[in-house]
Amino acid sequence: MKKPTLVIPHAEFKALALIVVTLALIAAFVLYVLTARGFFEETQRLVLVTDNSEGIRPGMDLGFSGFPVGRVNRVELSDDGNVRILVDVPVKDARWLRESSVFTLERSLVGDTRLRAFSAELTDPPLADGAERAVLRGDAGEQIPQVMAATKALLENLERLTAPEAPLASALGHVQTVTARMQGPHGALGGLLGSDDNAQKLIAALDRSNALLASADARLFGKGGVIDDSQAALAQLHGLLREARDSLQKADTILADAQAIASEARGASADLGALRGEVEASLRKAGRLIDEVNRKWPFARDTEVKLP
Amino acid sequence: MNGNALPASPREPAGRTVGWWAMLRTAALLLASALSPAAWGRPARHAVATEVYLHARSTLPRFTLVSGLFSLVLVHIVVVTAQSYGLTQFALGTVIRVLVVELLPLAAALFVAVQGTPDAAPALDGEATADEAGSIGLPTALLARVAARYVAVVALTTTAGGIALVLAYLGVYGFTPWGVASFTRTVGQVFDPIVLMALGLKTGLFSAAVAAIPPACDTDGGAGDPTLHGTVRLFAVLIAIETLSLAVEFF
Repeated sequence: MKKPTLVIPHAEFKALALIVVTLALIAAFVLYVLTARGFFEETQRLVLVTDNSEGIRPGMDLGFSGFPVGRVNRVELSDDGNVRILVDVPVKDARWLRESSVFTLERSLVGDTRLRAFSAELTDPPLADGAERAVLRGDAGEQIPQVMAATKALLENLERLTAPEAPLASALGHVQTVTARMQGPHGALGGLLGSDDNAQKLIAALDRSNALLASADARLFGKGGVIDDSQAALAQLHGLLREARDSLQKADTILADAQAIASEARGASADLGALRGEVEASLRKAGRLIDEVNRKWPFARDTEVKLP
Repeated sequence: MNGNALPASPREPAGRTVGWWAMLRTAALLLASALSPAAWGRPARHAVATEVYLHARSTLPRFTLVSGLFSLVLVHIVVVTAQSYGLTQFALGTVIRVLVVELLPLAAALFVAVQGTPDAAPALDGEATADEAGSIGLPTALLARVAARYVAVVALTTTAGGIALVLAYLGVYGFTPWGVASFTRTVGQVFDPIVLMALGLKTGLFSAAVAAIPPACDTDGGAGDPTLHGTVRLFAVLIAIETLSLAVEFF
Protein backbone atom coordinates (compact mmCIF):
# COMPACT_ATOMS: atom_id res chain seq x y z
CA MET A 1 0.00 0.00 0.00
CA LYS A 2 1.47 3.28 -1.05
CA LYS A 3 2.12 5.99 1.51
CA PRO A 4 0.15 9.14 0.75
CA THR A 5 2.47 11.80 -0.67
CA LEU A 6 2.50 15.18 0.97
CA VAL A 7 1.62 17.97 -1.47
CA ILE A 8 3.94 20.94 -1.07
CA PRO A 9 2.58 24.18 -2.51
CA HIS A 10 5.02 25.85 -4.92
CA ALA A 11 7.46 23.02 -4.36
CA GLU A 12 9.26 23.64 -7.62
CA PHE A 13 9.75 27.32 -6.85
CA LYS A 14 11.04 26.58 -3.38
CA ALA A 15 13.41 23.91 -4.60
CA LEU A 16 14.61 26.16 -7.38
CA ALA A 17 15.15 28.96 -4.89
CA LEU A 18 17.19 26.67 -2.67
CA ILE A 19 19.30 25.57 -5.61
CA VAL A 20 19.76 29.13 -6.82
CA VAL A 21 20.76 30.35 -3.37
CA THR A 22 23.19 27.48 -3.00
CA LEU A 23 24.73 28.16 -6.38
CA ALA A 24 24.90 31.87 -5.58
CA LEU A 25 26.73 31.13 -2.35
CA ILE A 26 29.17 28.92 -4.19
CA ALA A 27 29.74 31.58 -6.85
CA ALA A 28 30.19 34.27 -4.22
CA PHE A 29 32.69 32.12 -2.38
CA VAL A 30 34.66 31.45 -5.54
CA LEU A 31 34.70 35.18 -6.38
CA TYR A 32 35.82 35.97 -2.83
CA VAL A 33 38.65 33.48 -3.04
CA LEU A 34 39.74 34.87 -6.40
CA THR A 35 39.73 38.36 -4.92
CA ALA A 36 41.63 37.12 -1.92
CA ARG A 37 44.25 35.61 -4.18
CA GLY A 38 44.62 38.88 -6.06
CA PHE A 39 43.15 37.65 -9.31
CA PHE A 40 41.52 41.00 -10.04
CA GLU A 41 44.41 43.17 -8.80
CA GLU A 42 46.79 44.99 -11.05
CA THR A 43 50.26 43.88 -10.13
CA GLN A 44 53.87 44.35 -11.10
CA ARG A 45 56.56 41.73 -11.08
CA LEU A 46 59.51 41.58 -8.73
CA VAL A 47 62.15 38.88 -9.13
CA LEU A 48 64.17 37.88 -6.08
CA VAL A 49 67.31 35.84 -6.64
CA THR A 50 68.79 33.52 -4.04
CA ASP A 51 70.79 30.31 -3.86
CA ASN A 52 68.30 28.28 -1.81
CA SER A 53 64.54 28.52 -1.89
CA GLU A 54 63.81 26.00 0.82
CA GLY A 55 60.63 27.01 2.61
CA ILE A 56 59.39 29.29 -0.15
CA ARG A 57 56.11 28.31 -1.71
CA PRO A 58 53.69 30.04 -4.06
CA GLY A 59 51.17 32.14 -2.22
CA MET A 60 53.64 33.23 0.46
CA ASP A 61 53.56 36.91 1.40
CA LEU A 62 56.30 39.50 0.94
CA GLY A 63 56.12 41.61 4.09
CA PHE A 64 56.97 45.25 4.62
CA SER A 65 56.81 46.55 8.19
CA GLY A 66 54.56 43.65 9.09
CA PHE A 67 52.12 44.22 6.23
CA PRO A 68 51.90 41.97 3.18
CA VAL A 69 52.80 43.96 0.07
CA GLY A 70 53.32 41.12 -2.38
CA ARG A 71 52.70 37.45 -3.02
CA VAL A 72 55.00 34.77 -4.38
CA ASN A 73 53.66 33.63 -7.71
CA ARG A 74 56.24 31.11 -8.77
CA VAL A 75 59.62 29.69 -7.79
CA GLU A 76 61.93 28.54 -10.53
CA LEU A 77 65.56 27.71 -11.27
CA SER A 78 67.60 29.99 -13.48
CA ASP A 79 70.16 28.86 -16.02
CA ASP A 80 73.02 29.55 -13.62
CA GLY A 81 71.53 27.37 -10.92
CA ASN A 82 70.20 30.17 -8.76
CA VAL A 83 66.63 30.34 -7.60
CA ARG A 84 64.31 32.99 -8.95
CA ILE A 85 61.36 33.88 -6.80
CA LEU A 86 58.70 35.66 -8.83
CA VAL A 87 56.68 37.98 -6.65
CA ASP A 88 53.53 39.81 -7.70
CA VAL A 89 53.27 43.20 -6.02
CA PRO A 90 49.96 45.08 -6.26
CA VAL A 91 50.48 48.43 -7.90
CA LYS A 92 48.97 50.21 -4.90
CA ASP A 93 51.60 48.66 -2.63
CA ALA A 94 54.53 49.03 -5.02
CA ARG A 95 55.24 52.51 -3.63
CA TRP A 96 56.81 50.92 -0.54
CA LEU A 97 59.51 49.26 -2.61
CA ARG A 98 62.36 51.45 -3.78
CA GLU A 99 65.54 51.00 -5.76
CA SER A 100 67.49 50.90 -2.49
CA SER A 101 65.16 48.40 -0.81
CA VAL A 102 66.72 45.35 0.79
CA PHE A 103 65.04 41.95 0.72
CA THR A 104 65.61 39.18 3.24
CA LEU A 105 64.65 35.54 3.48
CA GLU A 106 64.44 34.32 7.06
CA ARG A 107 64.10 30.71 7.96
CA SER A 108 63.91 29.85 11.66
CA LEU A 109 63.90 26.51 13.39
CA VAL A 110 60.23 26.78 14.33
CA GLY A 111 57.71 28.57 12.23
CA ASP A 112 57.28 29.59 8.65
CA THR A 113 59.85 31.04 6.28
CA ARG A 114 59.49 34.79 5.84
CA LEU A 115 60.19 37.11 2.97
CA ARG A 116 60.67 40.71 4.02
CA ALA A 117 61.44 44.01 2.37
CA PHE A 118 63.15 46.96 4.01
CA SER A 119 63.21 50.43 2.51
CA ALA A 120 65.43 52.90 4.32
CA GLU A 121 64.82 55.82 1.98
CA LEU A 122 61.27 56.18 0.75
CA THR A 123 62.36 59.17 -1.35
CA ASP A 124 64.48 57.00 -3.59
CA PRO A 125 63.17 56.09 -7.05
CA PRO A 126 60.47 53.39 -6.98
CA LEU A 127 61.33 49.85 -7.93
CA ALA A 128 60.69 49.20 -11.60
CA ASP A 129 58.41 46.46 -12.91
CA GLY A 130 60.36 43.25 -13.47
CA ALA A 131 63.30 44.38 -11.33
CA GLU A 132 65.68 41.68 -10.12
CA ARG A 133 67.12 41.84 -6.64
CA ALA A 134 69.27 39.52 -4.58
CA VAL A 135 67.83 38.24 -1.32
CA LEU A 136 69.82 38.15 1.90
CA ARG A 137 69.23 34.73 3.32
CA GLY A 138 69.31 33.71 6.99
CA ASP A 139 68.75 30.15 7.92
CA ALA A 140 68.93 29.05 11.53
CA GLY A 141 68.88 25.46 10.42
CA GLU A 142 72.16 25.81 8.58
CA GLN A 143 73.90 26.54 11.85
CA ILE A 144 72.69 23.30 13.35
CA PRO A 145 75.55 21.10 12.04
CA GLN A 146 78.10 23.57 13.38
CA VAL A 147 76.29 23.75 16.69
CA MET A 148 76.12 19.97 16.79
CA ALA A 149 79.84 19.69 16.09
CA ALA A 150 80.65 22.25 18.77
CA THR A 151 78.29 20.50 21.18
CA LYS A 152 79.94 17.19 20.45
CA ALA A 153 83.38 18.66 21.15
CA LEU A 154 82.06 20.22 24.32
CA LEU A 155 80.59 16.92 25.45
CA GLU A 156 83.88 15.15 24.78
CA ASN A 157 85.73 17.74 26.84
CA LEU A 158 83.16 17.43 29.56
CA GLU A 159 83.57 13.69 29.52
CA ARG A 160 87.31 14.03 29.88
CA LEU A 161 86.89 16.48 32.71
CA THR A 162 84.48 14.27 34.59
CA ALA A 163 86.36 10.99 34.04
CA PRO A 164 87.23 9.14 37.28
CA GLU A 165 90.96 9.69 36.79
CA ALA A 166 90.57 13.32 35.74
CA PRO A 167 92.06 16.14 37.85
CA LEU A 168 88.59 17.44 38.51
CA ALA A 169 87.64 14.20 40.23
CA SER A 170 90.69 14.33 42.47
CA ALA A 171 90.07 18.02 43.13
CA LEU A 172 86.51 17.19 44.11
CA GLY A 173 87.87 14.46 46.35
CA HIS A 174 90.08 16.99 48.05
CA VAL A 175 87.15 19.32 48.40
CA GLN A 176 85.22 16.49 49.93
CA THR A 177 88.03 15.87 52.40
CA VAL A 178 88.14 19.53 53.31
CA THR A 179 84.41 19.76 53.70
CA ALA A 180 84.44 16.60 55.79
CA ARG A 181 86.97 18.25 58.03
CA MET A 182 84.76 21.30 58.12
CA GLN A 183 82.10 19.16 59.66
CA GLY A 184 84.37 18.61 62.70
CA PRO A 185 84.00 20.33 66.05
CA HIS A 186 86.00 23.31 64.86
CA GLY A 187 84.17 23.72 61.56
CA ALA A 188 85.88 25.56 58.71
CA LEU A 189 88.96 26.22 60.83
CA GLY A 190 89.70 22.52 61.11
CA GLY A 191 89.30 22.19 57.35
CA LEU A 192 91.63 25.08 56.61
CA LEU A 193 94.36 24.01 59.02
CA GLY A 194 94.24 20.35 58.22
CA SER A 195 93.27 18.85 61.55
CA ASP A 196 91.43 19.58 64.76
CA ASP A 197 94.74 19.62 66.72
CA ASN A 198 96.06 22.50 64.66
CA ALA A 199 92.78 24.28 65.07
CA GLN A 200 92.97 23.76 68.80
CA LYS A 201 96.51 25.15 68.88
CA LEU A 202 95.41 28.17 66.92
CA ILE A 203 92.55 28.70 69.29
CA ALA A 204 94.90 28.35 72.28
CA ALA A 205 97.27 30.83 70.68
CA LEU A 206 94.37 33.15 70.15
CA ASP A 207 93.37 32.75 73.79
CA ARG A 208 96.87 33.54 74.92
CA SER A 209 97.01 36.49 72.63
CA ASN A 210 93.75 37.68 74.06
CA ALA A 211 95.08 37.34 77.61
CA LEU A 212 98.27 39.12 76.60
CA LEU A 213 96.31 41.85 75.01
CA ALA A 214 94.15 42.13 78.09
CA SER A 215 97.12 42.43 80.40
CA ALA A 216 98.86 44.76 77.99
CA ASP A 217 95.72 46.75 77.89
CA ALA A 218 95.55 46.94 81.63
CA ARG A 219 99.22 47.74 81.82
CA LEU A 220 99.06 50.37 79.23
CA PHE A 221 95.63 51.82 79.65
CA GLY A 222 94.70 50.81 83.19
CA LYS A 223 94.70 53.07 86.18
CA GLY A 224 98.35 53.95 86.95
CA GLY A 225 99.49 52.40 83.70
CA VAL A 226 102.06 53.47 81.19
CA ILE A 227 99.74 55.83 79.51
CA ASP A 228 98.88 57.54 82.76
CA ASP A 229 102.58 57.86 83.61
CA SER A 230 103.30 59.04 80.18
CA GLN A 231 100.62 61.58 80.50
CA ALA A 232 102.01 62.74 83.86
CA ALA A 233 105.50 62.85 82.38
CA LEU A 234 104.16 64.78 79.51
CA ALA A 235 102.49 67.16 81.91
CA GLN A 236 105.71 67.60 83.78
CA LEU A 237 107.64 67.99 80.62
CA HIS A 238 105.16 70.54 79.59
CA GLY A 239 105.67 72.37 82.84
CA LEU A 240 109.43 72.13 82.49
CA LEU A 241 109.23 73.35 79.01
CA ARG A 242 107.08 76.19 80.17
CA GLU A 243 109.60 77.05 82.89
CA ALA A 244 112.41 76.68 80.45
CA ARG A 245 110.61 79.02 78.17
CA ASP A 246 110.17 81.47 80.99
CA SER A 247 113.83 81.11 81.93
CA LEU A 248 114.86 81.57 78.40
CA GLN A 249 112.70 84.61 78.23
CA LYS A 250 114.42 85.93 81.32
CA ALA A 251 117.81 84.99 79.96
CA ASP A 252 116.87 86.71 76.85
CA THR A 253 116.01 89.78 78.86
CA ILE A 254 119.27 89.47 80.80
CA LEU A 255 121.17 89.02 77.63
CA ALA A 256 119.50 92.06 76.27
CA ASP A 257 120.45 93.92 79.38
CA ALA A 258 123.95 92.45 79.20
CA GLN A 259 124.11 93.47 75.65
CA ALA A 260 123.10 96.92 76.65
CA ILE A 261 125.58 96.87 79.51
CA ALA A 262 128.18 95.52 77.18
CA SER A 263 127.49 98.21 74.76
CA GLU A 264 127.67 100.76 77.52
CA ALA A 265 130.75 99.07 78.88
CA ARG A 266 132.20 99.17 75.42
CA GLY A 267 131.59 102.87 75.52
CA ALA A 268 132.74 103.06 79.03
CA SER A 269 135.79 101.02 78.29
CA ALA A 270 136.55 103.32 75.51
CA ASP A 271 136.27 106.12 78.12
CA LEU A 272 137.99 103.86 80.53
CA GLY A 273 141.00 103.63 78.33
CA ALA A 274 141.16 107.34 78.14
CA LEU A 275 140.61 107.52 81.84
CA ARG A 276 143.28 104.97 82.43
CA GLY A 277 145.62 106.91 80.34
CA GLU A 278 144.81 109.98 82.26
CA VAL A 279 145.16 108.08 85.50
CA GLU A 280 148.49 106.72 84.40
CA ALA A 281 149.53 110.14 83.40
CA SER A 282 148.43 111.49 86.70
CA LEU A 283 150.22 108.69 88.49
CA ARG A 284 153.33 109.41 86.54
CA LYS A 285 153.02 112.98 87.40
CA ALA A 286 152.45 112.13 91.01
CA GLY A 287 155.42 109.82 90.96
CA ARG A 288 157.63 112.49 89.53
CA LEU A 289 156.30 114.88 92.00
CA ILE A 290 157.04 112.53 94.81
CA ASP A 291 160.48 111.90 93.48
CA GLU A 292 161.05 115.59 93.23
CA VAL A 293 159.85 116.03 96.63
CA ASN A 294 162.05 113.30 97.91
CA ARG A 295 165.07 114.79 96.24
CA LYS A 296 164.46 118.05 97.55
CA TRP A 297 163.28 117.04 101.01
CA PRO A 298 165.85 116.32 103.78
CA PHE A 299 164.08 113.16 104.43
CA ALA A 300 165.51 111.96 101.21
CA ARG A 301 166.53 108.35 101.30
CA ASP A 302 168.37 106.07 99.16
CA THR A 303 165.81 104.29 97.26
CA GLU A 304 168.00 101.68 95.95
CA VAL A 305 167.13 98.33 97.08
CA LYS A 306 170.01 96.09 97.94
CA LEU A 307 169.50 92.50 97.78
CA PRO A 308 171.04 90.13 100.31
CA MET B 1 12.22 -3.46 -18.97
CA ASN B 2 15.09 -2.03 -21.06
CA GLY B 3 18.79 -2.53 -20.58
CA ASN B 4 19.13 0.49 -18.45
CA ALA B 5 16.67 -0.65 -15.87
CA LEU B 6 17.76 -1.38 -12.37
CA PRO B 7 19.38 -4.81 -12.00
CA ALA B 8 17.56 -7.68 -10.38
CA SER B 9 18.57 -8.66 -6.91
CA PRO B 10 21.62 -10.84 -7.14
CA ARG B 11 21.77 -13.67 -4.62
CA GLU B 12 25.11 -15.12 -5.44
CA PRO B 13 27.03 -17.38 -3.07
CA ALA B 14 30.01 -15.03 -3.63
CA GLY B 15 28.13 -12.57 -1.45
CA ARG B 16 29.52 -9.14 -0.73
CA THR B 17 32.06 -8.90 -3.56
CA VAL B 18 29.28 -9.13 -6.01
CA GLY B 19 27.23 -6.89 -3.82
CA TRP B 20 29.91 -4.21 -3.93
CA TRP B 21 30.26 -4.33 -7.65
CA ALA B 22 26.54 -4.49 -8.17
CA MET B 23 26.11 -1.62 -5.77
CA LEU B 24 28.65 0.54 -7.56
CA ARG B 25 27.14 -0.32 -10.91
CA THR B 26 23.70 0.47 -9.70
CA ALA B 27 24.84 3.71 -8.16
CA ALA B 28 26.53 4.73 -11.40
CA LEU B 29 23.38 3.91 -13.34
CA LEU B 30 21.34 5.95 -10.91
CA LEU B 31 23.56 8.97 -11.30
CA ALA B 32 23.71 8.63 -15.05
CA SER B 33 19.96 8.33 -15.15
CA ALA B 34 19.54 11.37 -12.96
CA LEU B 35 21.74 13.38 -15.28
CA SER B 36 19.86 12.29 -18.34
CA PRO B 37 17.42 14.92 -19.65
CA ALA B 38 14.99 12.19 -20.62
CA ALA B 39 14.40 11.45 -16.96
CA TRP B 40 13.21 14.94 -16.23
CA GLY B 41 9.62 14.95 -17.32
CA ARG B 42 7.07 17.19 -15.70
CA PRO B 43 6.01 14.68 -13.03
CA ALA B 44 9.65 13.99 -12.29
CA ARG B 45 10.43 17.67 -11.85
CA HIS B 46 7.57 18.09 -9.42
CA ALA B 47 8.58 15.01 -7.48
CA VAL B 48 12.19 16.14 -7.37
CA ALA B 49 11.20 19.62 -6.19
CA THR B 50 9.05 18.12 -3.46
CA GLU B 51 11.80 15.81 -2.30
CA VAL B 52 14.40 18.58 -2.42
CA TYR B 53 12.16 20.80 -0.33
CA LEU B 54 11.40 18.05 2.16
CA HIS B 55 15.02 17.04 2.57
CA ALA B 56 16.12 20.66 2.94
CA ARG B 57 13.38 21.38 5.42
CA SER B 58 14.35 18.43 7.56
CA THR B 59 18.11 18.82 7.43
CA LEU B 60 19.10 22.41 6.77
CA PRO B 61 17.92 24.15 9.94
CA ARG B 62 19.17 21.48 12.29
CA PHE B 63 22.49 20.96 10.61
CA THR B 64 23.06 24.72 10.33
CA LEU B 65 22.47 25.09 14.04
CA VAL B 66 24.59 22.12 15.05
CA SER B 67 27.43 22.99 12.71
CA GLY B 68 27.30 26.61 13.81
CA LEU B 69 27.65 25.64 17.45
CA PHE B 70 30.40 23.18 16.67
CA SER B 71 32.24 25.76 14.57
CA LEU B 72 31.96 28.34 17.32
CA VAL B 73 33.40 25.99 19.91
CA LEU B 74 36.19 24.82 17.65
CA VAL B 75 37.15 28.35 16.63
CA HIS B 76 37.30 29.43 20.25
CA ILE B 77 39.40 26.45 21.30
CA VAL B 78 41.88 26.84 18.46
CA VAL B 79 42.22 30.62 18.86
CA VAL B 80 42.71 30.48 22.63
CA THR B 81 45.18 27.62 22.36
CA ALA B 82 47.15 29.38 19.63
CA GLN B 83 47.25 32.59 21.68
CA SER B 84 48.59 30.76 24.70
CA TYR B 85 51.44 29.37 22.62
CA GLY B 86 52.10 32.61 20.74
CA LEU B 87 50.93 31.14 17.43
CA THR B 88 48.01 33.45 16.79
CA GLN B 89 49.05 34.02 13.20
CA PHE B 90 48.36 30.37 12.43
CA ALA B 91 45.01 30.10 14.22
CA LEU B 92 42.79 31.47 11.48
CA GLY B 93 44.31 29.40 8.70
CA THR B 94 44.06 26.28 10.82
CA VAL B 95 40.41 26.89 11.63
CA ILE B 96 39.46 27.52 8.03
CA ARG B 97 41.34 24.53 6.76
CA VAL B 98 40.02 22.16 9.39
CA LEU B 99 36.43 23.29 9.38
CA VAL B 100 35.55 24.45 5.90
CA VAL B 101 37.81 22.18 3.88
CA GLU B 102 37.80 18.96 5.90
CA LEU B 103 35.18 18.60 8.59
CA LEU B 104 32.04 20.29 7.34
CA PRO B 105 31.72 18.52 3.96
CA LEU B 106 32.12 15.15 5.65
CA ALA B 107 29.74 16.12 8.44
CA ALA B 108 27.11 17.27 5.94
CA ALA B 109 27.36 14.02 4.01
CA LEU B 110 27.09 11.96 7.17
CA PHE B 111 24.19 14.01 8.42
CA VAL B 112 22.20 13.50 5.24
CA ALA B 113 23.13 9.83 5.16
CA VAL B 114 22.09 9.24 8.74
CA GLN B 115 19.02 11.44 8.45
CA GLY B 116 17.58 9.15 5.84
CA THR B 117 14.34 9.88 4.07
CA PRO B 118 11.93 12.44 5.51
CA ASP B 119 8.71 10.90 6.76
CA ALA B 120 6.56 12.81 4.31
CA ALA B 121 8.52 11.69 1.30
CA PRO B 122 6.95 9.06 -0.93
CA ALA B 123 8.22 5.51 -0.53
CA LEU B 124 10.20 3.79 -3.22
CA ASP B 125 8.09 1.19 -4.90
CA GLY B 126 10.90 -0.32 -7.00
CA GLU B 127 8.81 -0.32 -10.11
CA ALA B 128 9.92 1.41 -13.21
CA THR B 129 7.64 3.97 -14.68
CA ALA B 130 7.54 3.99 -18.44
CA ASP B 131 5.55 7.10 -19.20
CA GLU B 132 7.21 8.29 -22.35
CA ALA B 133 9.13 6.76 -25.16
CA GLY B 134 12.78 6.88 -24.38
CA SER B 135 12.33 6.94 -20.63
CA ILE B 136 14.86 4.88 -18.86
CA GLY B 137 12.58 3.26 -16.40
CA LEU B 138 13.94 5.01 -13.33
CA PRO B 139 11.24 5.29 -10.70
CA THR B 140 10.30 8.90 -10.20
CA ALA B 141 10.50 8.65 -6.46
CA LEU B 142 13.96 7.15 -6.71
CA LEU B 143 15.11 9.89 -9.05
CA ALA B 144 13.67 12.48 -6.71
CA ARG B 145 15.41 10.95 -3.75
CA VAL B 146 18.75 10.82 -5.49
CA ALA B 147 18.48 14.42 -6.63
CA ALA B 148 17.21 15.62 -3.26
CA ARG B 149 20.00 13.99 -1.33
CA TYR B 150 22.56 15.37 -3.74
CA VAL B 151 21.20 18.90 -3.41
CA ALA B 152 20.91 18.50 0.36
CA VAL B 153 24.58 17.62 0.82
CA VAL B 154 25.72 20.50 -1.39
CA ALA B 155 23.37 22.95 0.31
CA LEU B 156 24.39 21.88 3.81
CA THR B 157 28.08 22.06 2.98
CA THR B 158 27.76 25.49 1.41
CA THR B 159 25.67 26.95 4.19
CA ALA B 160 27.70 25.49 7.00
CA GLY B 161 30.93 26.54 5.33
CA GLY B 162 29.74 30.12 4.97
CA ILE B 163 28.63 30.25 8.57
CA ALA B 164 31.94 28.77 9.68
CA LEU B 165 33.87 31.47 7.82
CA VAL B 166 31.80 34.19 9.44
CA LEU B 167 32.27 32.66 12.88
CA ALA B 168 35.99 32.29 12.29
CA TYR B 169 36.27 35.99 11.46
CA LEU B 170 34.26 36.98 14.50
CA GLY B 171 36.21 34.61 16.72
CA VAL B 172 39.56 36.05 15.68
CA TYR B 173 38.81 39.71 15.04
CA GLY B 174 35.54 40.31 16.83
CA PHE B 175 32.80 42.64 15.65
CA THR B 176 35.06 44.99 13.76
CA PRO B 177 35.58 45.55 10.06
CA TRP B 178 39.31 46.23 10.35
CA GLY B 179 40.31 42.62 10.09
CA VAL B 180 38.67 42.03 6.72
CA ALA B 181 41.84 42.64 4.70
CA SER B 182 43.91 40.30 6.82
CA PHE B 183 41.12 37.71 6.89
CA THR B 184 40.74 37.88 3.12
CA ARG B 185 44.45 37.38 2.67
CA THR B 186 44.41 34.33 4.91
CA VAL B 187 41.46 32.88 3.01
CA GLY B 188 43.35 33.42 -0.21
CA GLN B 189 46.37 31.62 1.19
CA VAL B 190 44.31 28.67 2.42
CA PHE B 191 42.22 28.24 -0.72
CA ASP B 192 44.82 27.81 -3.37
CA PRO B 193 43.71 26.16 -6.65
CA ILE B 194 44.54 22.65 -5.44
CA VAL B 195 42.54 23.06 -2.26
CA LEU B 196 39.60 24.61 -4.09
CA MET B 197 39.57 21.80 -6.60
CA ALA B 198 39.86 19.19 -3.86
CA LEU B 199 37.01 20.80 -1.94
CA GLY B 200 34.77 20.94 -4.99
CA LEU B 201 35.53 17.36 -5.99
CA LYS B 202 35.12 16.10 -2.46
CA THR B 203 31.75 17.78 -2.04
CA GLY B 204 30.57 16.48 -5.39
CA LEU B 205 31.72 12.95 -4.67
CA PHE B 206 30.25 13.01 -1.16
CA SER B 207 26.94 14.20 -2.58
CA ALA B 208 26.97 11.54 -5.29
CA ALA B 209 27.80 8.82 -2.78
CA VAL B 210 25.12 9.86 -0.34
CA ALA B 211 22.63 10.24 -3.15
CA ALA B 212 23.26 6.99 -5.00
CA ILE B 213 24.70 4.37 -2.66
CA PRO B 214 21.83 3.89 -0.16
CA PRO B 215 19.24 3.42 -2.92
CA ALA B 216 21.69 1.18 -4.78
CA CYS B 217 22.18 -0.92 -1.67
CA ASP B 218 18.49 -1.09 -1.13
CA THR B 219 18.11 -2.76 -4.47
CA ASP B 220 21.16 -5.04 -4.57
CA GLY B 221 19.62 -7.63 -2.22
CA GLY B 222 22.82 -8.24 -0.22
CA ALA B 223 22.77 -10.18 3.01
CA GLY B 224 21.57 -8.49 6.17
CA ASP B 225 19.47 -5.38 6.74
CA PRO B 226 19.61 -3.38 3.51
CA THR B 227 19.49 -0.03 5.26
CA LEU B 228 22.30 -0.90 7.66
CA HIS B 229 24.18 -2.58 4.85
CA GLY B 230 23.89 0.48 2.71
CA THR B 231 24.88 2.80 5.51
CA VAL B 232 28.00 0.83 6.29
CA ARG B 233 29.02 0.77 2.65
CA LEU B 234 28.26 4.43 2.33
CA PHE B 235 30.53 5.21 5.28
CA ALA B 236 33.28 3.16 3.72
CA VAL B 237 32.92 5.04 0.45
CA LEU B 238 32.92 8.38 2.25
CA ILE B 239 36.12 7.49 4.06
CA ALA B 240 37.71 6.42 0.81
CA ILE B 241 36.76 9.73 -0.80
CA GLU B 242 38.13 11.66 2.17
CA THR B 243 41.39 9.77 2.03
CA LEU B 244 41.66 10.43 -1.69
CA SER B 245 41.06 14.16 -1.21
CA LEU B 246 43.69 14.35 1.53
CA ALA B 247 46.15 12.63 -0.74
CA VAL B 248 45.38 15.10 -3.51
CA GLU B 249 45.77 18.09 -1.18
CA PHE B 250 48.89 17.11 0.66
CA PHE B 251 50.81 14.97 -1.77
